Amino acid sequence: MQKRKICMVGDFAVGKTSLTQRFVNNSFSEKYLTTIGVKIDNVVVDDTKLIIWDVAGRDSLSPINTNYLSGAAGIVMVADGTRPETVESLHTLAEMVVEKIGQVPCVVAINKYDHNAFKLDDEQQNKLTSQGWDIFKTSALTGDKVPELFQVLNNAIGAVTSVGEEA
Amino acid sequence: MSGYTAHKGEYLNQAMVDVARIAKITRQLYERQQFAYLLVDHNWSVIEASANLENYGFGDVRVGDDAREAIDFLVGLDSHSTLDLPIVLSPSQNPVHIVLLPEDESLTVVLMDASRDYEQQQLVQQKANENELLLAQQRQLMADLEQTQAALVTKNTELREASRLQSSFLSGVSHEFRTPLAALLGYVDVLGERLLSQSQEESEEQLKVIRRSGRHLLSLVENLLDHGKFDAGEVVLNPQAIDLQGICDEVHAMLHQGAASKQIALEFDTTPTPLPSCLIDDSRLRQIMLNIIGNAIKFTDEGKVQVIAQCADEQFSLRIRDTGMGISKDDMQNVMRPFWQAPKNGKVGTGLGLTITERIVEMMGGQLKIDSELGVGTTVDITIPAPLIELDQPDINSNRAEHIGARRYLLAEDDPDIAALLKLLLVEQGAEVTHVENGQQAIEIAEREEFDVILMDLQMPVLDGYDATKSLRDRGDKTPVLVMTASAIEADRTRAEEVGCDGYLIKPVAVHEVLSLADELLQNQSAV
Repeated sequence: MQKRKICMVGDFAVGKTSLTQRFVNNSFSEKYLTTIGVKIDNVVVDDTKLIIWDVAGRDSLSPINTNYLSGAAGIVMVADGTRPETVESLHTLAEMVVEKIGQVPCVVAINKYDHNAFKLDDEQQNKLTSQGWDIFKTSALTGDKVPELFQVLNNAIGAVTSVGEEA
Repeated sequence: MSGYTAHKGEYLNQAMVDVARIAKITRQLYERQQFAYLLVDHNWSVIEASANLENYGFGDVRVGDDAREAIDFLVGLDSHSTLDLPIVLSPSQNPVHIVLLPEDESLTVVLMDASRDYEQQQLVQQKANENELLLAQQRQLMADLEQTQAALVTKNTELREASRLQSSFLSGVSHEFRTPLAALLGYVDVLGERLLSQSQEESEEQLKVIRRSGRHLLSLVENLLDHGKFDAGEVVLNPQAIDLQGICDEVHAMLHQGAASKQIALEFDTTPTPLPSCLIDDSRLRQIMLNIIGNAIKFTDEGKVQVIAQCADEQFSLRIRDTGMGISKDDMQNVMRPFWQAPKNGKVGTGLGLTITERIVEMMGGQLKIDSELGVGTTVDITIPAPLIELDQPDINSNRAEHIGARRYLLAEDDPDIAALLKLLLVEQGAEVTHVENGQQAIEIAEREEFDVILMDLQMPVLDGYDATKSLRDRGDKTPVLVMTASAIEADRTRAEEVGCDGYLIKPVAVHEVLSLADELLQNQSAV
């Protein structure tokens, strides 16, 4: 079976682990437990085993350790729709990813769509879509748009791989 | 021959023994220090693996296998590059420090227990992140608080403005009512004192002032009531076939005296002449015209007020152009606001006429536009849908008109002045009128005598008009009941209809309205 490494990146407490657990185990926990280092899970999508690296979020104490990104075939960038600053930081995160592993397929999850305080204004959304990223307003709590997020990324990786093989 | 050359083979053997010993010691160290290792070639084929690898959750690794099949974290990695992964949670949930050490022919993957680092970092990071989240929440709360405070300040300003408008409105209403009342009462006193001593022409002039003042008061009251009715959603249009030319002539007649008293011209130009008949709510159209043309006269001290009325393509359009003081651009934004009055223009009012007019026009499906220049004048353009219709021609051979006054009326009215006035006017038209003061008396007398029409006030002592009508209907009395009330509220009209009233007139009522509606009710009854 084909295997692909994908990485979840974003600021701390935006819901990277929750999205991963919702997708992999269809579970959700209200309790916040910060990720240290990286936690690796896997799930099969369309006969492909996705190796999901749930990378510790960037925070005030430490930046993301980009070593964890080595060899990633695709990236899920996650922001918290109730914390606008985490949406803004996606752009610097993207620069960091490109610097480390070059251009790879990337999707964006603006998480906590179920929350009353969720807000993504047009300016923010346009700025994200102008980068060519697919934007998903996700909810790890309800599972809304979570399967779509990973499916689209897997398809994008598949498309890039096919082009590479043809070349 | 040097000593090295002589003993070269011996040295090499010793070196190999040393290397083997170091390798053995290293393996023992791995095992003793909870290290695990994996030796693969650059194609990820397993050369060697420490036995304790399975302690980290990476079991079932055999020599010759592709290491990436058994160990997920190797997927995507470069077997030629050094890589340090400080903390990786292995499938067995053990925190592991993983280091990739490439050599010429192979790659050593070293796995070290990172439990202690993990626990320490978890403790510190968890607290730091939770604190950061709390700070973010605090910042958000502060922002929300500031926003709420700003909203409260705005609301407070609006309330102050509303209070100011209310005071201004009350002051305006007071003035608006007192002015015509003063004229009305003053001329009534004059008439009372000089009726016999002055000429009939003088008396007629004074009566004109009294009538004009009364009508002005009535239009003020109607505007005030309409404002409340619009807010309550109680305004209902009642389109009927009307003579547009007749309405225009009537409005002109009502307003020309006011214009003349200010020495300004009031010009009416209608196209075509006469204007056709159409389907429209006549009382509302009259109200629109009186409000806008009345305003134009009020705010024009020199020059003229020109009214151009046209009817074409089932649209009735009115252009009211004045040479008055005009409206500034700033004030133009406010003219439609209820109770708003331009400051320092020396005019007072209720600030409701324009607001109500616009709402009526919109309700009719029309449009109202204002164009004005300060110091030059104002033009108001109104268009209203006006479906054309043929009016029934009066039957000149009929003697109905001569007989509609000759009816027997039962008048239930508790106000003696209103009752006396109405009785006087009806008797003048040839009617017989029996007056009672409440609903109970109306029921009693209706049981003993026959009447053509019952004129019923709604608010009366002992028994009100609703209960009296209901009682009459319950007793099988089918005499048409015509309500005369001061209430212009739609709910009152509906209730009156529900209890069996046949017609509804709002005070003050003109005698011809009473006669006409009574006749209509009797015609309907006889047709049934």
